[in-house]
Amino acid sequence: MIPVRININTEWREILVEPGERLIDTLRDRFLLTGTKEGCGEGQCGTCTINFNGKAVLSCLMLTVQADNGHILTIEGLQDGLDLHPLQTAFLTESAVQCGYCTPGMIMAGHALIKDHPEPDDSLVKHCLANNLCRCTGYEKPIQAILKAATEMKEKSHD
Amino acid sequence: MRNTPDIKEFHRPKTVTEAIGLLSQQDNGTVLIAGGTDLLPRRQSGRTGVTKNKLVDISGLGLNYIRETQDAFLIGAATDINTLASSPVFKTSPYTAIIEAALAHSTLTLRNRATLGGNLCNASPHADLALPLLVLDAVLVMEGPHGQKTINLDNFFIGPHCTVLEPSEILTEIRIPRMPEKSGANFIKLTRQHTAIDMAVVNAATCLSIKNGICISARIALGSVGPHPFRAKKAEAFMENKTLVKNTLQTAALFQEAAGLAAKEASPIDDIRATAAYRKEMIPVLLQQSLGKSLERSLS
Amino acid sequence: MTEPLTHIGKSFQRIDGVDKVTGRARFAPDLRFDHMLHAGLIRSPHAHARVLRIDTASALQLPGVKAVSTIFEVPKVIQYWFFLRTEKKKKEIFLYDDIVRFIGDPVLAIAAVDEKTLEHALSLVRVDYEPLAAIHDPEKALTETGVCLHKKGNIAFRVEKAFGNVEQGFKAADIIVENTYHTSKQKHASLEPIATCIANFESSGKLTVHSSTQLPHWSQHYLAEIMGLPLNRVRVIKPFTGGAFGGRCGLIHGLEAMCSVLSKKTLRPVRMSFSREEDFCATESRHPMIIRMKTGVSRDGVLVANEAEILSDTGAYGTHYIGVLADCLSTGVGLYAIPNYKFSGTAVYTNTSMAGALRGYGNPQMNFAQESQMDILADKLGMDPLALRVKNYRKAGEMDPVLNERILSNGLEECLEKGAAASGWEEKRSRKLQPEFISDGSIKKSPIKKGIGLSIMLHGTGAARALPDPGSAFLMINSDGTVNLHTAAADEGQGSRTVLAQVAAEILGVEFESISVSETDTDITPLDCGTHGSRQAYCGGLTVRDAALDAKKKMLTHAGNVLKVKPDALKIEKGLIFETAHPANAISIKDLMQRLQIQDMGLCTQIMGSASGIAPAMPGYYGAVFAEVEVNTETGEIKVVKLTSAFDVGKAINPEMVKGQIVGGGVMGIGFALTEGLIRKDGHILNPGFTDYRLLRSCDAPPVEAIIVESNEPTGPFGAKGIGEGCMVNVASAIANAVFHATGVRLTNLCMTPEAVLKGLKP
Repeated sequence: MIPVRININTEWREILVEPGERLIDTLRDRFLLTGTKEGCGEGQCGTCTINFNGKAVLSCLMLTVQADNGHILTIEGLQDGLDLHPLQTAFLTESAVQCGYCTPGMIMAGHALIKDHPEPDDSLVKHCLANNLCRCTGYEKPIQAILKAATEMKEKSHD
Repeated sequence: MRNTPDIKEFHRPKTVTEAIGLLSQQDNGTVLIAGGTDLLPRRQSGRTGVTKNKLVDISGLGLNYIRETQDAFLIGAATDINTLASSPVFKTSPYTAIIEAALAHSTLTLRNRATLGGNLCNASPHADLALPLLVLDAVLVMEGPHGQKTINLDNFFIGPHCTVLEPSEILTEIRIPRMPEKSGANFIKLTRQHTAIDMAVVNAATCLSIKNGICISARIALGSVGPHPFRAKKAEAFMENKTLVKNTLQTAALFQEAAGLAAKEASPIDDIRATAAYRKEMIPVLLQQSLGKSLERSLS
Repeated sequence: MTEPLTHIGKSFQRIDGVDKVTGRARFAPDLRFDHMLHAGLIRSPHAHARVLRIDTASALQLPGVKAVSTIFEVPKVIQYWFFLRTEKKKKEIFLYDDIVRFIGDPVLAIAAVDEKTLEHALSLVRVDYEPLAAIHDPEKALTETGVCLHKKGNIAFRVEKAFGNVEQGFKAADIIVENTYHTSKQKHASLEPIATCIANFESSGKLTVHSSTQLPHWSQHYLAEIMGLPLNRVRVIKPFTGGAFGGRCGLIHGLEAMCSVLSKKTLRPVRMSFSREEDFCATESRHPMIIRMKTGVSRDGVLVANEAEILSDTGAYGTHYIGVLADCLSTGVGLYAIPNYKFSGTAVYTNTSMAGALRGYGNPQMNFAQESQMDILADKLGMDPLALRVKNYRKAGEMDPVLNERILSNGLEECLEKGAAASGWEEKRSRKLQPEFISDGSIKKSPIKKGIGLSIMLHGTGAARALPDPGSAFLMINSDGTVNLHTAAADEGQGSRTVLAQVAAEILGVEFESISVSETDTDITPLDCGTHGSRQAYCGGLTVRDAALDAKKKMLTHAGNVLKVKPDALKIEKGLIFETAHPANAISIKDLMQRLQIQDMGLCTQIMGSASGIAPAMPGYYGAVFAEVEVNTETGEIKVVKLTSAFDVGKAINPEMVKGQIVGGGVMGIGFALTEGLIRKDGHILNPGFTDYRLLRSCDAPPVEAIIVESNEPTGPFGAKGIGEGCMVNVASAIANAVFHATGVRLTNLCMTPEAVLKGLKP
């Protein structure tokens, strides 16, 4: 067992893990953060996308030991009390959600993108979502939602 | 069924020497891990891709850098591919081909973890980054128990997922020599999907250096059409000393002939992405386009 | 209805949206229970074999291994709820035998305390097989008499049906075209893999199963039979579901039955969860079909005869083979008024994973053949493909000969008109087809050729004429005027809970926010056939409408007593009941309920409305898809540039959700046309993951312009009928027709590959 210290949704956690434990399993099984989904286990579907040190990564393709001393943000860490994050609101108002299984991963991919690119364009958002499969509603609405959230977040930061 | 990776040990050395020490001590069940994007996917066999159960993590060795010297660019092997893609260093011809290949590699999300060294050491027949580096005459720096050595990338691959790297050696740096002033390069990739995450049916890179309208050096590299990425040297030799003028029938004919020669050097196979015959047919199509772009860039 | 609608035709946000965007929505893989065991399967490595011996002794000795169940004691559940109708048929649903029929067919399951122990235990099991000769090719299933997959042989089902006289019809034809079409083995590929289940058998003799099923009540019926339990002792709960598309119609092969038996043996909750690879290799798929079609037309473009001969590969076990062929028949015959039609279909068993229900249910295959034929005919006639359709489609007022029902609504012509206008059909169709030159003056011609193609489709709403297809709902009016709606209309993500809440709010005259919709749970929600056949807006909508009308009637009776007027003199708006002629004479629902339920101790009654039954019809819904493509003549790549999809949904209860279906269905249809399909060799599936089973991604998916046409179906709730499946049905045919327009190459095999394009271009 290997001691690992990770900051998950702003809280430092110290755990002992097997070297082969995947980050997705740590989040879901140990911390019951089941908003992060597993859809394939091979990095292709994107439902397990989280933010690691501010970047979008696939938590099924990371060992928990690789996340030592890192900062993790999951979909559960996005909300501020009862208030939804602008990305969450935009996914609702733009009808970007159907079954909802891909939604947390898409939102987290969008979150990392907006952090690095506060004014993304359509093409950039398209590329940002290339690792997030959706089977229900296509990609137009999620792309619109991320663009809308980016605009709102920018306006908010100017207030 | 989850089939979690069966990993017994995970080591986090702080220096290259320590890492080499770990590799030397261990039996052949040891493997390096950087981003893990090639190593960790649950494979279609149902088990994880990890066949070796002791991992040595090289992400803490300070191998994430891009530096410029007078005669070369130096890239740390653990540099992630997004860093490569956004590096201002490669914004000029012919090095833009590196950025083209980086952006054609997987997705924005995967590239946050995938590394250049990983892409080369995994030695997949369709490794995207290998192609621009082959045409730019990249040199690899490897460190092992007996010190440092360098090797041309052209001599690095020996088979599918197989390189000259010894079990106790680490690829630490990729060096790209500066090319003559009027050089242009290009990377091109044919997939079944527009999205770059799809593996190539054929991928290729070319580089042309021009002096007084004459091709003084040509490089043509192909992927996905042989056991590993390789240079089509007969086609390269054919191009040298030829007079090249863009958008002319003569030059187009030369490109066509070179592309045909290159196709003859390939040995594609049938797989679930495409047949060997289709791949062979696509090589000239891709190379003619790529050579045209490289020529154009060498002149601008 | 002359009154303006308050809740119908408005795009309310989905009722469970906040749960989904915050990650709080619990899907089956997210559920955890105390003392839960983990189960996994040993699957057959052989395409066809007899299981001789199963040795689990050393696995059972492993600490933490709790129970084993095998195919010797747990039946394979084949067939579908159609067979629940008679005791004799019912027996055919449950198959106990020692034969495995495809690579991945479950042999046994083990339950252990954790996944690590489970994996270890599975590795210790020894199974001895006697390999048998296998059939991988459906055509061989017909001829190879030496190999028999099932007792009855290799032919699962045969159907022949004739309308008019096809021989004479062809004699009268001026042009006849005949072609053979092949379609692929598409997967549902819902983002939540199929499947995860937790079964909990308690000492009291009650079984509770959490499973992402589309048909909770039919799953309950199957499980009661397998476990020998009365229905009130089997509870099926459907958690949030990550898409279904037909892949969760009933029990999943090897999942719930195995889990329930393991739970009964251990008296602990048992969880089993398939990996994506198991989903791809061992759950149902679309039926691959070989369709020979011969179509005759008169010189002036009137269809006179059609002959369709279908070979459908149902795989190792038959589940939906009858229904899928029946849908080929009803959609094929129903779409065009062809006086002479001969249809024959054969479903055969092969040693591959079983085929089942998948969005469109036979129609995408049939439509690909039929609509390709139409395009070929239009070309031979020198006629606008659009005009040929308008001339021949079966219009409202005509009889549907298969369903023997009169068509009451058909908005196809409006779909064609609006789609043509939005896609620029006329201009693009007449565009000169010569290759364009690259603008920078380069000497090279552009290899890109552009084209546009169209196709139309009909799909049935629900299955009222074909299957036991009940719907039920009840709702309770609370003392504060809010409403709890109970329905088992399973929401797989399409949004039926939201749409049904809109229907209830409209009828009851309350705000949308006043309605809450129950979870789908057979203990608390009444009998419903579940989600299949594009039925929930229509069948579910009718049921909820009637339950709400029932409650409304009761409310108005009480309100009439209070307001001293007859109930039919009253109206409800925004939660206020008032006399139409004297609006001041009013009482709010809240005050009325307060009186009824709390204040008046002599009354104390809760108003409940209920409804149950089958839909009065199976109305067809229609659509036209216009596909624009660019074909690279050097590489053979087909790029879909834009889809324009116009669909007649009767009435869009929630327009944004309807558009979501059309766009999502369009993207899935492009996948069916160009990139999807399981690749098989000797019974092995070579692409059981998203690496090589390619769904369209954000960079691949073109814009889809969704156009809603409302023909107002008289039998539907507020005029509504279906949409869910139809929007993917005719995408592949539209693309094939566009490729022909661009290049002159006719592609008859799905999916369409670049290699096939290049082959077609070669002289």
